[in-house]
Amino acid sequence: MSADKNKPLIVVLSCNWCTYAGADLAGVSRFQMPTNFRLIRTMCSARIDPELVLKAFAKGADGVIVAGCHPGDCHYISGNYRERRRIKLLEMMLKQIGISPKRFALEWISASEGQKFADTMRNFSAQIDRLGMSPIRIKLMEENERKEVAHV
Amino acid sequence: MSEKIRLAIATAATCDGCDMAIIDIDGMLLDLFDIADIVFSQTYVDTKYEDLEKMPDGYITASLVHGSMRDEENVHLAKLLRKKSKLMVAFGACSAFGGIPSLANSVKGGMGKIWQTVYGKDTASTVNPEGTTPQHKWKTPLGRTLTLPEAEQKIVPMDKIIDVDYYLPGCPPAVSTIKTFVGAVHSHVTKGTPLPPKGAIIASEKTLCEECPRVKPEKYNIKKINRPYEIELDPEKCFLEQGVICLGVATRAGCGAQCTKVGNMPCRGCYGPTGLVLDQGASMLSALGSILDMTDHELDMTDDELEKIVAQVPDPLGTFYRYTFGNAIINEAVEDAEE
Ligand code: SF4
Ligand code: SF4
Ligand code: SF4
Ligand code: FES
Repeated sequence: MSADKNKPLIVVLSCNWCTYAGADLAGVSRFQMPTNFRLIRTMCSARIDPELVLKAFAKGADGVIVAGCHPGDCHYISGNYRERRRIKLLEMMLKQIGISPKRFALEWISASEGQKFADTMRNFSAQIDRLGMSPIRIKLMEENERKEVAHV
Repeated sequence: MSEKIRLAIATAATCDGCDMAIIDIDGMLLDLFDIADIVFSQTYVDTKYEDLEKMPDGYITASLVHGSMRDEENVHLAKLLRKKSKLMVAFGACSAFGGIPSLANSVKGGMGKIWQTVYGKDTASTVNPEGTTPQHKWKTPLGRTLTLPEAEQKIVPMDKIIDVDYYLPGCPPAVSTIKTFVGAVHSHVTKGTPLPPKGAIIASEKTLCEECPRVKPEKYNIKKINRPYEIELDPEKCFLEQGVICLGVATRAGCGAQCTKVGNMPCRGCYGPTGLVLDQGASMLSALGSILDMTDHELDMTDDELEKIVAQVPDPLGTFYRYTFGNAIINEAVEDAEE
């Protein structure tokens, strides 16, 4: 997934209308941000199926942020209300699996909140730095190493 | 009719419910025995692994394996049968998805922790002052060495271990599902009709809700989650509308909606994920999350309130993955660093 083997990897799953525009604004405004996140845009936060979050973690993401419009601002009216229930349920499930809840966040970021986007990314990235690599990523790397050794 | 086909009905880590289900096909068993000889089975005929080992490769026409891949013996048997069989059939949820036993993968600390719970001081009901645990190898006082198979660290579906040709989902597969399969094999042998394509799941492409006759509301909004024993269950209305978690929305049809139709019980999901999704648990979580207590004050809902709403689901992992945790996108517990 990444170039630098040891840098934490963060996946941001965002809605198109608010958060993506907010991220864009953060970029255009040249706010300081970490570079170790990949943003995936969907039409609405409600499109961000829990399956996608699980997949991100299963593929070795160290942290995942789901982000969308503030309550009341969803372009499809209630998408984010549904999503926040799913995300809360998913949080319970991730806890059962053993993934630290600190690796996972739901954020509301509007199109005008470029600064908030940048701050969120900075804080979250620092939090993931403190946690270190996800246990799944460690496992994946160990497996890969074993495979490489087996090939030699 | 020409020669009979050769069938194996083998048990891995099974509860034997799958065997009972096979016997339940009644008269059709006779059709089965018309065309098939059981050449290997731990339950139905007296055969040993030795007999199996002696068979030439590809000798068995089809092997049905039920039960999960819990220990190295189960894995060994699956691999051996694969070698000896033309067709491998994952029979039942355990073999197809990991089944209920694969919920053991969700124990943090893995097999070590499970052993400690079963044989150690963790449980009040365990009396084991000497701390005796099963050993992989043991030397008898007379000098013989006895061995027991070692447990696998995690349970995965059989198709993660060997190539599988067909799947019969269900815990156990419904009699109708088994009959469909036996019928297909029968007419293939007697009339030459083609077999289902490789990889086929002998069930339906629909979602269980489409098979379920219960009356569905136009819009769902669950105000309170009820456990089935907590309320008088309406035999006509959709369970979700009654606040009872029913996995029908996230489950493959094919059982004839046995539980919801006949049993007045919600679906627990034993036919596994539908054809459209990878992960049954995530799919059920998503469905339930969208209809869980939508209020008229979403704008100023506090985090506490939200927390309370979802906390009504007591055990999301165990509920949504009851039969398929071994098959999930993340299929085992991990231990994360504490910050
Ligand atoms: S699928 Fe169900 S009935 Fe069959 S062996 Fe597993 S637990 Fe038993
Ligand atoms: S949710 Fe359950 S009760 Fe409702 S229609 Fe679907 S299968 Fe039937
Ligand atoms: S209704 Fe659900 S739990 Fe019951 S047999 Fe069918 S798939 Fe399995
Ligand atoms: S469009 Fe942004 S959350 Fe729905």
